[in-house]
Amino acid sequence: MSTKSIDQEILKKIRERQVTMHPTRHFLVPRVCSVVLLALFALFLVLLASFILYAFHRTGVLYLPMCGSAAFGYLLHPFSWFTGALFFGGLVLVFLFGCIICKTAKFYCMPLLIILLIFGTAFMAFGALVFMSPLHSFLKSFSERHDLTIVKSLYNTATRGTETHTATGIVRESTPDGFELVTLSKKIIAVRIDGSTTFQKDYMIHDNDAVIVVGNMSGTMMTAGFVHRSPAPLSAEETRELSAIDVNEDASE
Amino acid sequence: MERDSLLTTDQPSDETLVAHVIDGNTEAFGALVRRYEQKLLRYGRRFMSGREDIEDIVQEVFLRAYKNLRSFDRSRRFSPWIYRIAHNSFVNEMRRATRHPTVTFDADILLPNRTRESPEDDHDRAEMREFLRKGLEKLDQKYREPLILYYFEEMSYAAISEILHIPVSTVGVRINRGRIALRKIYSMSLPSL
Repeated sequence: MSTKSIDQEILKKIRERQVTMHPTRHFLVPRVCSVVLLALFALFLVLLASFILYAFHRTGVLYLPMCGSAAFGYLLHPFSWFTGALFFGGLVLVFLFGCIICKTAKFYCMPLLIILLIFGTAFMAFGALVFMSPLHSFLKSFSERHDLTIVKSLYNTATRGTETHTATGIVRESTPDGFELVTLSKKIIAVRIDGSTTFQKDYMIHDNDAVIVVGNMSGTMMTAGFVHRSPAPLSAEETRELSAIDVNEDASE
Repeated sequence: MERDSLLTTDQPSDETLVAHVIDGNTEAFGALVRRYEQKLLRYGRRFMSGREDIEDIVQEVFLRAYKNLRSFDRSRRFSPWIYRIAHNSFVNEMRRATRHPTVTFDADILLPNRTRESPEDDHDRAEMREFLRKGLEKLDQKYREPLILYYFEEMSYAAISEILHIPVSTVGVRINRGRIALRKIYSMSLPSL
């Protein structure tokens, strides 16, 4: 083909309608679909972030840093396989989201790391907002009331199985040697206090206090390393519900 | 943006021509083709040196551009848009010919870099063009293309970023690394020259 004839060749094809311009809807439909899919993906990531925060809150992991530097050693232990998988799965999904955004939007001019930081922070911030709302408490109680097996087991798996190292719940029957802890997942743990137990500064333990206990578990007995008042007090309803659990009742789910 | 595309006032801009084509003036597309055919042929010959069918590929580039003209965002520049189509077509052709998947992920795009576009004097540019002519084929593809666009097509980093869909800082990194690699290739080939 001669170079000089490129424009003539093209114009000929256009005039003979061998080539036609795609209508606007040809571009609009995929664009709208991709925006909707990305929005749904982002919404899922926000819900996932809030769920991970909720699981951390229920198992006490979220508040471990407040127990002092010595408690950091416990930080990795309370990760249940499920919460850990959710956490790392979430990181992978955020990375995937960043890559898709780079391909579909005009974010390619920014380094991927910056995009990941921006979106990661945004998902955590919105996730924290959802976490602070009553959504998860509502969903959990709703799934229990209506026996929604999958949702119920999702919440139970995420908030259980970490109590070998950390537990959040309310204090019962406190004595100088220990107390009973009714955990948020309605397990009853006998907590032993010894000379090595550290309490939150200026905190005296009382019945019905919501606390986080970090320690070593043996059967249903935990030797407390740290006892810290929960920064997120339980609602009156939750306190009443946990206080009413019978000592002999096998409340484990 | 493209540094050599400043138009005189009596010539309609590329974007105006696109508007005319969309409004039904087919001849305006002919003007766009005439404006870009030599540039794209030159770009293609350098990018895919040794190929006999560059003209056919460039014709396909224009046909694809025409079909997708309504997707062109008129608030942006036409030049990076058509070069982007050309880049995709060339990469696809090379992929088809070699049956090798091209690298789609590179660590360069992950981290921010501090590279900035620095003006070079005419002597430096001429020297780099000379190096490029001699060592282009030996250069890795990921360095070759930004160097072609920068030194021969006279594109800015921002325009190259738009064409290659990589961060602006990565363009700078690749151009700098490409320059170093070229100098190395050139110095190694000196005794045989």
